[in-house]
Amino acid sequence: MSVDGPNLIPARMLNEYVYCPRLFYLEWVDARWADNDDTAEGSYRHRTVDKQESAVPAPEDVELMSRRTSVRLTSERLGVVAVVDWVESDGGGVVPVDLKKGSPPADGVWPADRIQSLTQAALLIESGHQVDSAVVYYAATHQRRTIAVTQDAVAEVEAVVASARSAASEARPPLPLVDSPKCPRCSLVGLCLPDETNALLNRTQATPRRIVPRDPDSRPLYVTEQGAYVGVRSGRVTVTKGKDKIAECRAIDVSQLAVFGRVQVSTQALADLWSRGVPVLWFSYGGWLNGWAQGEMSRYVELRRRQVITHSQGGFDIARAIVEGKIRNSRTLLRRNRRSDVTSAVESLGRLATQARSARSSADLLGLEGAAARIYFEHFPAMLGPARYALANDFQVDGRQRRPATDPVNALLSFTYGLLTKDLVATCIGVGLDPYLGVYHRPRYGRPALALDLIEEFRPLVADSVVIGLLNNGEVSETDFVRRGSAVWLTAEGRRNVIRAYERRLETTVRHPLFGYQASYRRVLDIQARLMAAVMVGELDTYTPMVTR
Amino acid sequence: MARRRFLIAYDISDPRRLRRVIKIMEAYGERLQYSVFLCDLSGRELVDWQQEIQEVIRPDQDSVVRIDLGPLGASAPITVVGTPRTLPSSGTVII
Repeated sequence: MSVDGPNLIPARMLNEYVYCPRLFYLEWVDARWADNDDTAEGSYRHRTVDKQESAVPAPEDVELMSRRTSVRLTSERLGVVAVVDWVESDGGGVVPVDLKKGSPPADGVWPADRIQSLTQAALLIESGHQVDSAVVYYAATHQRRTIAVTQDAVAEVEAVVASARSAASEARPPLPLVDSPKCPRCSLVGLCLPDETNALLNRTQATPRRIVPRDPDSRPLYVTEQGAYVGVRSGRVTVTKGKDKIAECRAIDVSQLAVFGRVQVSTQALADLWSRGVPVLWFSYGGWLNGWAQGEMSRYVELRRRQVITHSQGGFDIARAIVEGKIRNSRTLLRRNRRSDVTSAVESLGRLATQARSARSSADLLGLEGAAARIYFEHFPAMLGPARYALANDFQVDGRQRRPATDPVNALLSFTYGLLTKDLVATCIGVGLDPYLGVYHRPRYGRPALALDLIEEFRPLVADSVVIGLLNNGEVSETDFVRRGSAVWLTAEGRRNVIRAYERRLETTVRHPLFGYQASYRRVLDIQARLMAAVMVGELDTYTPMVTR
Repeated sequence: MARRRFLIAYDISDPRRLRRVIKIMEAYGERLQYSVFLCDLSGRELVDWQQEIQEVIRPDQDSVVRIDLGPLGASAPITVVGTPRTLPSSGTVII
C-alpha cells in the first residue's frame, strides 16, 4: 500500500474523521485551520497537560508510568501517533485518560472520543502494557467515563485508520454532513460552507441555516493623512504625524491596513500585522491600488494548484457566469434607482445578460460586456436626482473615463472600484486564492485579474450604489473635488467621505438569493470567493454569482 | 462569543512583572485608572488574554480581577467624573 503523506495519523485526527470525514480531510490533507472560541479554549485547558512530552516507560515500570502527563506514543504498524494526556496505573496495567473540554453524552462517550481513546489504548498495548479500560474526562461536567478495552479494540482502530487513509487519498474532500447539528459549532464552518455546498449540490431541500460564522470583530484601518507614520507598540497600532499622535487602536482590531499616498508603515508594524494574517495594501494618493503585502502564504496549496489549472485551461464557464451576473446586477440597479424612463435600456441589458450566458468565446464575452457597459453608463445619470446634475453634467456628455477621471462622477466611480478591488484582494488572500490568476480578466500590467473577476458582480451592487447614494444624499459636493488640468481628483476630505459611505455599504446586510439568509456585503464577498474556490477544486460544478432581484 | 466589555483591575507586587502586565493590558484594552483597564473581548480574545496573563503573574503574590460588564452595545453604563477617559471603541477607522 503506498502511503502518500506522513506515515502516522494522529489519534486526534481519527477523532475528527469519526466526527466528520470532511473536517478530517480539510485539516489533515489540506492543512487548513481556523480557530474559534471552542478550539482556543480547548488549547487553554490542555496547557498544563502539554507542558512537556515524556517518553513511554517500559511495561515493568508501571508505577513510574502512572500519573505521567503528556506521553507521546507511536506505532509504525498501526500507522498512528497519539499524545496521551494522562496515564493512571490500575493493578498491573495502565489506563489512558483523555481530557475533553466539553460534556459527555447521556451514556458512555461520544463515538469520536471513543476511537481516540481506543487508539491510545491500542498504542499502549503495542508497547507491551496491559490495558483493560480507558477513561475520558469531560471537563465541563467534571465527569469521568470509562470505556472497556477488549480484544477487538485494536481491530476496531485498524478499520478506522484504513477508512481514514482511504478518504485522505481521494482527490477531493468528502462532502459535508447534511443538516447536521455539529456544523454550527465547528471551527471550519466558514471554510467548509456545509449548507451552502449542500444547497448548490441539491443534497437537501431544507433552506441553508445561517451558520456562516460571526463576522470578525476586526475592521479595516484606512490611513489617508499625508505625512502620517503607522507604527506598532505594545500591541497597539499608532498613527503619528510629526510629533503628534493622530490615532491609535488595538492591533487585534485591525483586519486590514490600507494606506494612501505619502504614508509610512514601520517594519515592526508590518511584522506585527502579518503575524496576525492581516494584509497591508498601498494606494497612490489618487486611489490606485499600487500593491500589497501579506505574511505567509496560505497553506491551502491544493487550491492554488487547481487555480493555476483553471486559469490556464480557460475557466470560460466561470467567466460567462460572472459577466452575466454583472450585467443582471447593472440592470437591476438601473431599474430600481431610475428617476426617468429606462425601459429600453433595461430590456437591452436583459438580452445581453442572457447572451452572455451562452457566449461562444472570450472575444464574444468581452464584446457583450462592453456593449452592456456602454448602455449602462449612458443611462447612469437617470439614477441621479436633479440636484446632482451639476456634478454629473460632464459625465452625461463624456461617459465613463478612466485614468484620469475627467469629472466628479468618474472620480467617484474609479475610487470606489479601487476600494472594492482592495477588498477582494484581501479576501483572496484570506481564502487562499492567488489574486493574479483570473478566469476572465487576463493578467496584464500587473493587474490582480482574479480580484477583478470577483468584483464584477459587485460593481453595481456595492460600488455604483455607494456613488449614487453619495451624490443623491448630498454627501459629496463640489468642495470634495479638485481639478488639475483636465483631471478631477477627490480631496482628502472627499476621499474620507467616500470611504465612510463605502464601509457603511459593506456593513449593510442583504438576503443572499441562493441561500436565503441575511449576511453583510462584507461577508458576501467572502462567501462568493469561497464558492469560486470550491468550483476551482472541483467541489461545485458551476460558479453562481450573487445576483439580486 | 460576541465581544463583551470587561473591567480588569490588577495588583502586581513585582515591578518587572508589573511592566509586562501593563504591556499585555495595553494590547487588549484602554486604561481607565492606574491599574484598571476596560477591555472589549470576544471569547477567543479572552482566552488569549488569560493565557498571556497566566504566563506572567505569580498567583501567590499578584491579583488580577475581571468583571463582566455585559455584551457590547448593551453593557453597563459608564459615567466619568473628572478628567476624560478614552473608552474602548471598534469599527472601521478612517484617518
